[in-house]
Amino acid sequence: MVSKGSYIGAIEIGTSKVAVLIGEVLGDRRLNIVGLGTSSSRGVIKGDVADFKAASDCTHAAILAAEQRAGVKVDAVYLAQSGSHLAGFVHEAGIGVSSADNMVSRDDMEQVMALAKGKALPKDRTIIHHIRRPFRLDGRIVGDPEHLEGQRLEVGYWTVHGNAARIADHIHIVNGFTLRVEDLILSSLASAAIVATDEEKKNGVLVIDIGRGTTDWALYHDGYCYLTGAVPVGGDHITNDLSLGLRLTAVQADGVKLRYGRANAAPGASKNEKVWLNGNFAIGDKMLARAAIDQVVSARVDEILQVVKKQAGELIRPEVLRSGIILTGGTSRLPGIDEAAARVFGISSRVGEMPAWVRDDLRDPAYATVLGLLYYGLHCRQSRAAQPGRASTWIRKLGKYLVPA
Amino acid sequence: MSTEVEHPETQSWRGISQSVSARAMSAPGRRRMSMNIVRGTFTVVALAGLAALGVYLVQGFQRPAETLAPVVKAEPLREVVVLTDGVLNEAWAREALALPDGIALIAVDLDAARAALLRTGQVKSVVVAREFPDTLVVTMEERVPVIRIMAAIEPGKLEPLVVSRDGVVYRPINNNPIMLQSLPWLDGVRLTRQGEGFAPLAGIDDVSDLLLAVQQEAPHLATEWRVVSMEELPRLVVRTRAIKQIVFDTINVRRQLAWLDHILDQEGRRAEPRAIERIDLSIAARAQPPAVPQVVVKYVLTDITRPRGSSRTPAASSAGARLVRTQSGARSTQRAKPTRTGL
Repeated sequence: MVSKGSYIGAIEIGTSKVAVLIGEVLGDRRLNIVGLGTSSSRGVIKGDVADFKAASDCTHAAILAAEQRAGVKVDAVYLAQSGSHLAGFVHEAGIGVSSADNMVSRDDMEQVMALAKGKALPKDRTIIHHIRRPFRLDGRIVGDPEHLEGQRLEVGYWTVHGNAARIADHIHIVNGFTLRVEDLILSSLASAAIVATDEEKKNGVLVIDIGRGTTDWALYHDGYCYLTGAVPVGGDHITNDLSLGLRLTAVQADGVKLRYGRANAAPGASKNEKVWLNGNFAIGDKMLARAAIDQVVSARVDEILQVVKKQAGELIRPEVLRSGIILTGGTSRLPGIDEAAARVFGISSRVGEMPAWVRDDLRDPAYATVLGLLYYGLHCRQSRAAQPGRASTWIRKLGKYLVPA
Repeated sequence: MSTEVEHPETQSWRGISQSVSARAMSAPGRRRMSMNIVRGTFTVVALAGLAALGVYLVQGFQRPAETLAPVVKAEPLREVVVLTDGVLNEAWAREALALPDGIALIAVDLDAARAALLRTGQVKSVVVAREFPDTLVVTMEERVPVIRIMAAIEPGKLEPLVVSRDGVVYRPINNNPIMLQSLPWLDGVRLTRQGEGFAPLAGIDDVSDLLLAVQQEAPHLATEWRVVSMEELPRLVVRTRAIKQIVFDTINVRRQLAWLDHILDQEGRRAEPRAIERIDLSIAARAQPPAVPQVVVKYVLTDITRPRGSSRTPAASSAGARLVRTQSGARSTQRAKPTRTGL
């Protein structure tokens, strides 16, 4: 394959599927998606690896498919991270401005940032991200305090950390295909990168990615990510309840959810409406009450959203989230889920849409995370390319060729 | 987004080892790793080769002229070293080379020297080399005499020569005289002149095989052999002190020697051994199992009218009594008829 660009890969090892995308970066500015590989996930429960070999096999199959589709091999990938083990905390620090004229210097900024990031963790925890919040100079929020006058400079970090062993499991699955993990990204940040615009992040937005096993969310305000979270429930929660409530197998319940599930029962819907389980009138096919399905789905969706609301806490306010709530992920395809979210949060909600440049077969909300990873990877490349002293592209290519992952 | 998310330096996920462990490998992963290893190895080897080539070229360009070995000064030839598997020595080499006194080593024409040495028939192959500063090294392979022949290299001057296994007729030099005298004579060949000597004889390898076999298997017989004739090729006729003709075929000579030894041994055990005129072993040589090998032995005719104990007189071959011996050992003695009857 002849190309002038370099390639980046993105992998999401989810509970329902493994998705791999390979993108061609043209001139460190444009991204061209050249390969997609998916496989049904096995050995992953609620975002955590439960069966290493099964998870490896399906992940490697997806990578292989993506590479074959793209006709190229990648050496390093961006990996999405989710799971109930993820947690976060805010740690703030403040210092007095050092100069006599009270002008904030670069040293002051670095000192206060180092203090804010300096909190130690238990040994079994490992940090994934330090997400900086805006600086405050004498209490007022400033984007870049350098050369501004003030007495006290403060900054806070939202530090995301997780269980080291579980994170290592994800990384080692990728390493097993002789690939290096270039960066580890929270699934919620990756999804938000693709479905929320910078303007929405400035106005305040809550992005909720409801997958099959987990629900990841990220709350943005003033253009900064203030909070993130991961809830160990997702679409499976609805399927399980349908299976128990309607006495169906898991596969049948999943089918009913996808065909008839509504997160917010339509007003005026008949309580006597019946739907067929399979619709083929074969042995085992039976009629189900639509109202019962609606009731189960709606209740479970509400439950999921309530958990998110509880985790996000006091920041769930219309004045904070002026751009509302954006829902994405596979479960966001449930009809009426945006109405359910608006009802639960009391804030306008909508299902996220992909940017116009995303091709049709990837516009499904289930691909939001892996698309966001690619988008994130492109931004990282741009940031690194902008740094002074970087080796030229051909030297980096030579280095990668000589030292494969 | 990239400005707000930072990657921690300590206690980070980046501290997790990303080395590939066998546990984490799947079949596609192993294939991919193998390809990576092959690619890496190829790259390293190619780069190493390029680096070595570069170093070699740079050193070649940078090597100063004065570091080259100085030109060897031409010195007179002082020594001729002969390395040989035979008996020729330095004195012979100097004589054969006929180099002028005081000739510089560098002035010695190696091709001419080699040709001069090869003119001696005893020299089979030779390599002449200079060993600076003053030594000429002659490395030779010599011919070994197999049989003697009387011939005249110079017209009208018969002299004993020898024949090597490859049929070359030459004048022996420095060979042990006792060894030479033990060699039988060759008969029944026609010599053809070639240059200053004779053309190589064909079929001497058969003679050589026969002589070698008799020396190894029956040395007591070998000392009795006087002449080997190639006149009846592919049969070789040997004349010993006591027997005029022992006929061998060129195949299965060891089998024939065994028969010969057996016959002579049998005769030697007799109270009154009879004189044998001719033994023909060639029929036995070509007998293929299960055919019975047959040997024809012709005795010297004895005058039965003469009293016992009178001396035997050699008789013409046409007037002998015949004893026909078969493998079964049956014998029959008849009054001699002039014709041969081989059974």
